[in-house]
Amino acid sequence: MSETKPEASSSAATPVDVDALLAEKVPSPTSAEGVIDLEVFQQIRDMDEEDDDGSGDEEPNAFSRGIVWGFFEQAEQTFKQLEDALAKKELVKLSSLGHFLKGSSAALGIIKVQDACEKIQHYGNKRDEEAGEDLTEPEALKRISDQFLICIKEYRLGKAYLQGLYEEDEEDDE
Amino acid sequence: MASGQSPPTPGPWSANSMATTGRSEEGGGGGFNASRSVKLDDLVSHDPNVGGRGGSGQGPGGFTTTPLPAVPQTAVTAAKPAGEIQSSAGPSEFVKKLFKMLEEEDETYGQGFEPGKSRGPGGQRGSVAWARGGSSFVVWDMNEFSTKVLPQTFRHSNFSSFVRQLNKYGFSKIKHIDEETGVLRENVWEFQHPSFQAGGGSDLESIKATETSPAAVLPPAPQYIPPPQTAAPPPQMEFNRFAEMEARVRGLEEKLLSAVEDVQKAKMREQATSGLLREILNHMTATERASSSPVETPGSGGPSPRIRYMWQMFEQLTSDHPRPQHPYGFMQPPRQPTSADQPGATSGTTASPQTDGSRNSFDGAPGSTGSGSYWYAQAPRDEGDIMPSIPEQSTYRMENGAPVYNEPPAWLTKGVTVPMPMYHRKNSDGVAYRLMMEALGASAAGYNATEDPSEPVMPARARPLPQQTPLRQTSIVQTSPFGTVLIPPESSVHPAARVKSKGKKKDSTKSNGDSPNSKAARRGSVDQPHWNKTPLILVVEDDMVYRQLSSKFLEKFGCVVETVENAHEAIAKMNSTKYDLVLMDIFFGPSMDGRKATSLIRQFDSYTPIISMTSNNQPQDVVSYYQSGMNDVLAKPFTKHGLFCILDKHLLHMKALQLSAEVPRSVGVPPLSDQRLQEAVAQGAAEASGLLGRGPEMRNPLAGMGWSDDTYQIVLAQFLQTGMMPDVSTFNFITGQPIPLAIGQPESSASSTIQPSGSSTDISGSSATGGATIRPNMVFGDYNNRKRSLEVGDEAWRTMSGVSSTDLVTPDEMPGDEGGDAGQRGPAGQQTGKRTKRV
Repeated sequence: MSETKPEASSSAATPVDVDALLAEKVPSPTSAEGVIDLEVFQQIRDMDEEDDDGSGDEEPNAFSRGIVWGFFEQAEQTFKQLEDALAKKELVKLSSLGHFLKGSSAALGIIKVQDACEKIQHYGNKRDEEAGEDLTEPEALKRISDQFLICIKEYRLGKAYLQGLYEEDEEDDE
Repeated sequence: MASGQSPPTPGPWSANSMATTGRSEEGGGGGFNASRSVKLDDLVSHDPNVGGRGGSGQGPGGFTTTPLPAVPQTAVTAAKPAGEIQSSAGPSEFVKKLFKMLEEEDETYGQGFEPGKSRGPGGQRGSVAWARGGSSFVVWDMNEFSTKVLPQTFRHSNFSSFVRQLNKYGFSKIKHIDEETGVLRENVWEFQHPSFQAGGGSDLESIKATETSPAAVLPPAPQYIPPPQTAAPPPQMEFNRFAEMEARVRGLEEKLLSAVEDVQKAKMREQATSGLLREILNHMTATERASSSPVETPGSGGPSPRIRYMWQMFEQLTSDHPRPQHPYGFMQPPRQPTSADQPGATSGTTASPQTDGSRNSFDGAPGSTGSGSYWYAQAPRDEGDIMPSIPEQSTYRMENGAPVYNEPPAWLTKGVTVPMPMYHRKNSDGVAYRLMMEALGASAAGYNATEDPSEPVMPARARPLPQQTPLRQTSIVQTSPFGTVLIPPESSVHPAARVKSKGKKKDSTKSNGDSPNSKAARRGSVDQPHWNKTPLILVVEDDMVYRQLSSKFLEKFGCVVETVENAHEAIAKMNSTKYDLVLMDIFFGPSMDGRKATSLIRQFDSYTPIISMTSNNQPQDVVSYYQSGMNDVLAKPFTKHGLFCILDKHLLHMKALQLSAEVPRSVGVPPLSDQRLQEAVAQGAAEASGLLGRGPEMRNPLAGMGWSDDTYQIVLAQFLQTGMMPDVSTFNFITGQPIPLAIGQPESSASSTIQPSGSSTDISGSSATGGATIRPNMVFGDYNNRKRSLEVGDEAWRTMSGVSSTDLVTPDEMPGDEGGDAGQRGPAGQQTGKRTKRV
């Protein structure tokens, strides 16, 4: 696997190696600040508590855990698809994938992933919504690859945090 | 040639042939002529070889068993009185004629050959002749024989009838082997009888019609008993009985067919009507919503009580019509479907399709129950292909109707019984309904799947009804299209209590998880008022996270959820099932997004609310959602509350009802219109304004409605206070006790407004027993205002009696958000003014 060096090129779209990036270990963030919108995430966890029937025969947070781990899987699949679409310069596909991941990350409150994905979505439409201007295709691709990197990095943070959260729970339980 | 009808001739064949030909003239001929799908062969045992060409030809055949009961034979007109049917000396006329016919033929074509001798290839012969050896005879050309020979000899041209006669006399069909080639010939009929020989060797007298053995007493179902190989000549009795039975069976079959047709027609009409009704109500609701005050907040928008009431009635109508009538109605004595046990009795009434079709649609009429059950009772016995779709449908109905029925609104399960205004469905012209049905197109057809369990096939459910208690106290497992659901016992679970018993859910609902969807079918405790009918919601979402999340939320809200991942599946699902609400992701799927899917769905379903779930909430996006036919937008990421608001808004009709339905109106007086009620209260208020403080001898003009004086006074006080009518339907009509009064907190959940918090007593039980500890609960005005639920306690009541309480309802709440009610209240208020002046 070739290491990706996003800073190597600033004028062209950078290829992103998803596998390599995801394989990198990141330290688990100590605080949810800036990583997870706890308010959003909490409503998923609330479902756990309501689910708990006191019988103890079920994992206490099975529901949210299922969603979170499902999200990990789904997000990483999407990353691979993004990588693919980026290599093929399929802007529409990129936009669609960005939209998709935006939605699910938003549901879990992983805000920075959500932000990056929203940008990917817009750039895929060759639009910079913040500036309100249209983009050329190369420019759009370039920006997408930048956001893609940010997105994966933020995702790793979020994942690390969430994993930490559930490990803690398990320790608490034992 | 002897006449079959000549009196001294004992032979019954004239009657027989009359019976048979008569039958075939009716178009119902059995045997070879059987062109209708009459399941005669199932009902009358019959030698299979007779009907089938090239059969093994072994059995002497005939109708062997299943005698008719020895009842007067009046039902069958073609049958001769039994007295004429008797065996007597001498060969039977039929056999004689047959013999003569063959001899004549031999004379005509025999050309010197001995009977039965081969005439050589190409030798001329008639359509019928003795076979070689003369021990049997052959029908060479069935058509010619039927048209030329039979009429001469037997005065009919019904070959199958002839064959039947032969069978009756113990002739059996044998395989015909061509004389020259030795090849089996399928289209030539050869019959033999041991005693029937060409020439003089015949013992014609020994050939007799088979007779019914008196020992064979009416087996429960027709059975085929293999005929004995040695063909004992059966007495003639048998034949007549069979002819008669056949005729009777045919008559019954025809009636059955027409009854089934009627039921189907009625069902169609019923479906169309309920679809139409729903559309009308939807339209009214929508119209009202559109014309109501814009101040309304989205979460609380609701129809006026009148519309709610209509919805309520509609739901009752579509859920299960016997329900309001049978055990619950005081007005109607519980009606047992007695006629259901007498298929024969009702079958007579269903003979003419048109009139009975409409009668069937008149629900609750005994005739409808009768014919429904008549059909129902018959169907299982009828193993044939008569309308095979019907039993299927009915099962489906039963299953599908069950959830609604099994979970009656709480008020229905309570002791107090209410006279429900009857819905008289007119026996209007079916054509009109069909036209409407067509006009409604596929959307109406969509109702077939889930709606309208109220078709006439009810008896199975109607019968257990009188014992409602066990019904409600046992968990009911029902199979539904989306899995197996176990409905927890309902009786003791008051909505408010349900909220508290959250934890119970799994025990009661998880017990059967074999279906992949059963998880979605979990219902259990909800932090929601229980729905008047469980909402069935379709979630169209490609994102796993939202699929799970929304399913979870919706289940918490007491909905049944089905999920699909793409638009194609969604369209397929909506084509087959009627959902109450659809949550549709605006995904950018490979081939179709939510907007396109919605526009497609709108081609066949214009009314099911489709809510877009999307994170693209730019104004231009939202506009495009609405343009595609979506009803609302739920922005992603949504919260539980956001989702709830959407449900609240779009499933109002399924939920609002509990408010008005929760506490029944009083017994004995048909519900007054709101207007009249208001007038009465307004008048009372006018009087009371002068009387207050003068003592308790206030007249209660609404006592006749079952209002206790206390109730009346509360309403009156409210009315004076606020100028509004409290929603009377939400009162408990409890007598006695000074009514305690305490101002309650606005409740966020409708379920908790039903029962005053702190009181664990079941209202139903208490009101039924006249329990006095219950405090009434008032919910003001329309559905919008249900949050202004008042819990009435002692002190406040006194306060209120003194008309000094000002915090019951703040004036600013009154006019703004009343929606459709404003119009109704307006006049009442004015009337107060007028009457006051008059006083």
